Amino acid sequence: MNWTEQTQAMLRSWTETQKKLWEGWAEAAQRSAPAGGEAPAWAEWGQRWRDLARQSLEGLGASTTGVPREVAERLFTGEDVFLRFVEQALAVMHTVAPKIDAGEDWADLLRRQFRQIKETMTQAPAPWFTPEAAAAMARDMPELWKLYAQELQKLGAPWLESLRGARGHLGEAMSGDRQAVVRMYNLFMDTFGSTAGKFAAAPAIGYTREFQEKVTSAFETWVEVRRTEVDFHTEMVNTGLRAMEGLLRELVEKSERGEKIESLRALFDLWVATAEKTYFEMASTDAFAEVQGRFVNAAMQHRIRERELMDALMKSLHLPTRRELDDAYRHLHDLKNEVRALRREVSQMRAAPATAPATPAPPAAPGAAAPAADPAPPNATTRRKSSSRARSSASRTGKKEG
Amino acid sequence: MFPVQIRPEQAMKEMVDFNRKLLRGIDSIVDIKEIDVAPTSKEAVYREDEMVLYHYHPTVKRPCKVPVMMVYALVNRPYMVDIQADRSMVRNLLSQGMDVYLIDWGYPDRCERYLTLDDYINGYIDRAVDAIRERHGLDKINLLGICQGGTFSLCYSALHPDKVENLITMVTPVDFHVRDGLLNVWAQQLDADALVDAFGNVPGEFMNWGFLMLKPLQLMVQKYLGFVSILDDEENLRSFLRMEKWIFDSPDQAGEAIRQFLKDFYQGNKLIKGEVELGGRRVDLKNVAMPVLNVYAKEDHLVPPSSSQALEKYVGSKDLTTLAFPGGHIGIYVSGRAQRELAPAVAQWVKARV
Repeated sequence: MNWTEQTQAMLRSWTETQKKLWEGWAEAAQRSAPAGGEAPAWAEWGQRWRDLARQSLEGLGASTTGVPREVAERLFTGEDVFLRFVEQALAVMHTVAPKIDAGEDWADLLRRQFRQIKETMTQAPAPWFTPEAAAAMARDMPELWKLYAQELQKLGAPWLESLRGARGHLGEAMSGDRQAVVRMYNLFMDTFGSTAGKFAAAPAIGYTREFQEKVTSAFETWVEVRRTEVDFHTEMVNTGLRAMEGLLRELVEKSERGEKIESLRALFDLWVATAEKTYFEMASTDAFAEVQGRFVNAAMQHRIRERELMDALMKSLHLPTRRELDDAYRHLHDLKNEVRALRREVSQMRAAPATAPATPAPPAAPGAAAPAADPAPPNATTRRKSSSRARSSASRTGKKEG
Repeated sequence: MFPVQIRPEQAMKEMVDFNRKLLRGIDSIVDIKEIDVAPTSKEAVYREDEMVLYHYHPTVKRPCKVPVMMVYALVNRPYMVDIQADRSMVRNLLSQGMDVYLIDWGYPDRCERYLTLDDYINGYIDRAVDAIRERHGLDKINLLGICQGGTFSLCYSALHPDKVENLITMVTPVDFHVRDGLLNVWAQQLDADALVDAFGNVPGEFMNWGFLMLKPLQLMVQKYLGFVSILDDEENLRSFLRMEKWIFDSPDQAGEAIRQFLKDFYQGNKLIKGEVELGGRRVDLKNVAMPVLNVYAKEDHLVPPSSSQALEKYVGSKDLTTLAFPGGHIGIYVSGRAQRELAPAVAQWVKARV
C-alpha cells in the first residue's frame, strides 16, 4: 500500500469537501446575510473537516516519522483553532449584523453579545469547568472514587496481567502453597484494580491497611488536582472573555480611525494580538501565578502518591521499586565523583617532582569541584605532557563530525 | 461604521486558498524525510558521561590564539548555534577568525538525576575548560554563555577567574526577580521539591509546555497559520522545520540541578545576593573581574532585558560592555540581522582583548 498516495487522496478529498461546503455557505450567506453572516452548513462542515483531518494524519503517521508529522499535526490544530474562531466570530456577526443595518449602536450590541457569551460559559458549565461544579463533584465522593478507580486500573493493568502470567513463579518463591499465595495476590490486585472505591467508607484495617492508606492519600491528592485544575481553567476562561472585551475596544478604535477589516485572517490576527496582551497582563499577576502554582504543585503531589502506589505494587511483585532505583543512581553518582577525586589525587602525586617528598594531596572537600577525567595540568610542563595524552584520549573517543 | 467588512464570497475564497496552500504544504512535508541541522564541520575532543566537547574546524589560517568555549542552557541542544549554513553563530564566529569550542550537554537519563549544579559548573565545565587549556597550552580561555549557560558561565568565572580570559554572556538571566518576565513570576509559586520528587528528571516536554504558555496563541496557533503561506517554498519550509526540530528537541533536566536552579536562582535570587553555593564555595560576582561583554535581546520574552542588564550592577569587572540587540530570545541566533552583526561584534570585542 502506498501511504503517501493514500494520504494525498485523503487530502484532496478533504479540500474538495471544504470547497463544496464553503461554496454552499457562500451562496446561502449571499442570499440571506449582509456583511458578515453565518455559515449554514458550518456544523456539518466542521465535523467532516475534523474527520478528514484525522484520517489524513493517520495516513501521515504511516508514511513519515519525526518532525514533519508533528508539524502537520500542529498545522491542522492551528487551522482548527482558526476555524473555531471564525465560527464564533461569524455567529456573533450573524446576530448583530441585521441590527447594525437597522441603525443600532454596534459597539453596544457587541458588548451585550459578549456578556451573553460570558453568562453562557459561566452558568452552564461543562463538568469540572467551574469551582461550583468541582465542589458538587467533590461532595459526591462515591462517584469520584469510581472515576479514580478507573484511573488506577489503567495504572495497574499491565502489572495485573504480568502477575497473572507469573502465578506459579510467585507461589514457588514465597511459599509451598501456590494456590494460597495466588489467591492472596489476586485479592490484593483485584482490590487495587477495580474496587478501590470501597476504601472510601472503610477504615484502614487488616492485611492491606498500609496499601489502603496509600490509595486514600493518592485519592485525596487526585481530588485536589481536579479542584485546582478547575480554578486554573476558570482563570483561562476569564482571560478569554477579557480578550473578547479587548477585541471590542480595538474594533471601536479602528472604527474611530475609519479603518476596516476585510479578511478573516486579519480579524483573527487582531484577536490573537489582543488576547496575548490580555493574557500577559493576567499571567503577570501574583494571583495567576498562585493559581497556576497550586495546580502544578497538586499534580506533582498526586504523581508522588501515585508512585508510592506503584512502588508498593512493584515490591509485591519482587521487582525493584522507583525508590530503590533512585537510591542506586544516587550511589552511582557519589561513587563517580569519588573515583574522579581519587584519580585527581593520583595524577597530582605522579606529577609531583621526583626530588620532592611524596606527600599526598589533601583529600577533596565533600562536594568540592570534581576533578578532571583526564587530569588537569598543574603547570606548563605537565600541561604539555598531559596534552599529548589528552589528545590521544580524544582521538580514541572522538570522531570527526560535521 | 462597523469596521468588520468581510463579505461571504471573500471569506470563502480566503478559506479555500488557505486550504489549498495547506494541502500543497502537507505534500511537501511528507516528501521531507530528514531534517538536517548542525552543518558545520567539527570534531569531538573530550567526552565524559553524556557531555561532549566539540572543536569546530577553524576557517582562517591563524585563528584567534585564545579560543572561545560556548556553553548553552541545559534545556537546549547544541545545534541552536549552528542550525543551518546561513544561520549559524558558530560559522559566523569562525569566519571572523575565532577558534570555537562548544559543549554538548547530551540527554541526561534517569541515571543522571543526581547531577547537581556543582557537577555541571565545577565539574563538566571546568574539565572542558581544562581540556581546551591543555590543547592550546594556555592558562585562560574565552567563555561564551547563552541563557542559562550564561548564568553557569558567570558562576564559573566567579569561582575560577584564573581560567577565564574574557567572558561573553548572551540573553543571560541575572536578576531573577524582575517582574516583566512571566517565568520569573510563575517560578515563585512552584514547589521545586515536589516537581523533582515527582519527576526525577524534569521532562523536556514539561519545560517546553511552560515556554509555549508564555505566548500560547502566537506560539501554538498563529505561527502555524503564518507558516502555511511559505509552505510552497522548499528552502523556507526546511528552515521552518529545522527551527521546529530544535524548539521541540528538549532534553530532560537533571533533577537535583534544576531543583537548585529553581530554588536558589529563580526563587531565592541568590546570584545577585552573593549567596549561591557550589561545591562548598560561595559565588561572588565581584570575582568576575575579567572583561565582560553582556548581550541581551530587546524583545526577549524568556529573559527580559532588565534581568540581563542587572549584571552591570553586580560584577567586579571594570571592563564591561553591554550590547542591546534588536529581536527576541531566539532571533538573536537565527535572524538575518544577527548573522550580519552579532558575531562580528563579539569577535571584534574579543580580539581587542587578547
